[in-house]
Amino acid sequence: MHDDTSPATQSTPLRTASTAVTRRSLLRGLGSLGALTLGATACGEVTAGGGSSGGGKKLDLTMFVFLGGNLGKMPKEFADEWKSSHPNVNLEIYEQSNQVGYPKMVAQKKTDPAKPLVNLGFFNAQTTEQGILDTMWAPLDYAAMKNVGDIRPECKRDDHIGIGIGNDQIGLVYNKEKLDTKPTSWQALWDPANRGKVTLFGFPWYAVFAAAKLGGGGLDNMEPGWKAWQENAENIRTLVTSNPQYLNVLASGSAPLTGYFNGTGNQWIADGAPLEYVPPAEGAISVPVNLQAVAGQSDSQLEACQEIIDAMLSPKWCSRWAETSVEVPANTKSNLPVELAKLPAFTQENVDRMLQVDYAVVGKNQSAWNDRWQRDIVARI
Amino acid sequence: MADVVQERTRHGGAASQPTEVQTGPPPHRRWRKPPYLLVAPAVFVLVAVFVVPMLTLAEFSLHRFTDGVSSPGRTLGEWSSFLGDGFQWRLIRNSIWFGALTTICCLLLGYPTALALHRLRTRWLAALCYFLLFSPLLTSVVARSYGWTLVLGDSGLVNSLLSGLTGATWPLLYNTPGVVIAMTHILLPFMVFPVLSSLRQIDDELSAAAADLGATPAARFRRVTLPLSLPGLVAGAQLCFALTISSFATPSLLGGGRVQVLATAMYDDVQNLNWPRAAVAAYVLLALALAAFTGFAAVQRRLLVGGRTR
Repeated sequence: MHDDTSPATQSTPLRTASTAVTRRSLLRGLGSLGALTLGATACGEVTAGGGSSGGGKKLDLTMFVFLGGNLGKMPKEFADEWKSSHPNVNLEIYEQSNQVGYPKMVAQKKTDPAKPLVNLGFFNAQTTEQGILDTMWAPLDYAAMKNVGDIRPECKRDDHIGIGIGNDQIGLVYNKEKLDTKPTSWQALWDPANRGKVTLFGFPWYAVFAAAKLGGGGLDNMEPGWKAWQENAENIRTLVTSNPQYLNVLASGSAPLTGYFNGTGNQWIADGAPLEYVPPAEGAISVPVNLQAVAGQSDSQLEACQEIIDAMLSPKWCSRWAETSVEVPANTKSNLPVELAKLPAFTQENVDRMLQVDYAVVGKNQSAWNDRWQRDIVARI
Repeated sequence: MADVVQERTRHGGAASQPTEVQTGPPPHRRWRKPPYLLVAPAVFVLVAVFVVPMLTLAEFSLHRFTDGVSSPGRTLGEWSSFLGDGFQWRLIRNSIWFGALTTICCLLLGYPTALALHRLRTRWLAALCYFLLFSPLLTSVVARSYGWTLVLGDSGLVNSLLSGLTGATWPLLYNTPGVVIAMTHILLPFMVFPVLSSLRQIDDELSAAAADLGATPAARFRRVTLPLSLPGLVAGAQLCFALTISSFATPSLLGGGRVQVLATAMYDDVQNLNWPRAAVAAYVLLALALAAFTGFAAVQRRLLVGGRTR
């Protein structure tokens, strides 16, 4: 703690006008001032996930929130309400995509495991599985969470590593004005008729998986998928690296077809983009969104994280999440607004035929698959 | 007390005879300025932002990445698999090719630009030209890249003109030409200013003497101006090449995946948590930059000392 009567302060020379300022005394003074500044900075520093609030009573927590579209709305509204009802907790928001933010979490864990970059947050299924490999998460005590009983069974995990708040899905998104034929099957992505019309985000494992599935394979045998994409890599006009870039490419028609999230796609549509989301005939790919508490933080922080996660699972906040992210809510007592429930993605027929994926397999193989994607597919586009 | 001040001659650095200067008793012992104190801030920054991260990367590179996690044990396996991997060598070749192509474009555009600026006598026009030349460096890389997507896209300005002339749409975006165009735009000042600096050092009398001896303007440029400005040109090329091979944002945003270079591959590896391979790639990229630097420096030394320009 910084103390005004510290020796550093006392040693700072305070000269009167009549006192000569020599170079040595000036340097000594500057040195003391520097030390004082460093000390004050160190005392006042609050890391993103640090438990110290500089001696105050507040508990500092940081929540990871998805970046883009309306994905930050519900967490921010929740944080505001939580802070007003819990004045002893300072709940900050860290807004970033899992793809970019998670490596930073790993870097921080390597630097100081006891001071995680964030304390809790929203993580997709892939990142959840990667986090398990990296021992990033702390298990939740389901028994101590009052809303867990209302959560759909498929959103809970046997190992209690996080819990689902909603379910997104990946299907086809296309530009209605620029693509002549409405795509109805995953095959549209690698159909030779769509040469140079496809855009994909980074490494789209799901596109290879869908091709593998249609070719008789699956997560355990991706070869048919690799073959389909190798033969039709020229379908890819461009690979994008961010959501704004994605929207620009799709909306301008530079590449009018992709496979992407229903939630994000519908947010773009709501914002006026001439796009449409289509659940493929073979089934969209289910993508659970989980709430996780990060390992390494103090017991009091973990306790608070669990309380916050439980509160976000309430019917009120689960409904709000589903509404803003356009997802199926995990809480059975939550309901989608009528206008969203009418969307093709949420019809019972499409929900029934959704492809369930073992994300543990995806997480374990993602790096190797990405390698192969770069070598065998990207090199051919 | 007398201070002994050792003066050195300005030529050759040889010490002259020490000269005793009686200065009388000073109130304090005179504080010297050792050179290491003067360079200390720069050394501190260099150590903090370069040496320490490079040492960290060296440590990362000694792990293996398998099944989504880095192994705790240390090994040179990642190095051997990287250097024995044809795909990685292709990335290295792509990086060199991309760097060379951009440098050549900068050279072809930058030299005439520098020459024109050198001969420009209207001050406001020169100021405007400098501003235009600098303008790419005043905008963020993301904004600049999105600007290029509007200009080079299928329905962009350039394609509208070209399709009006040729009747066909030209693929200028999401490929190597698009990235080279954008990189040339950014790096042009790094070529123009070293060349301009060289041109300003050329004595006008030399060209006038050549003219007096009957040299045509073309011969004067070929035999006087160009050889004397070559050191600046080499320095510009050195900068452009080094900045291009390490560039990530523009190839990533405008390359559309087609421009696969070491820097973009490193970014992929970092995101996929394959940090050992990203660390090896970082060292390979550094080695590439150092090799290029050494090569360009050798050429420059030869130009300065070897007799062509002196």
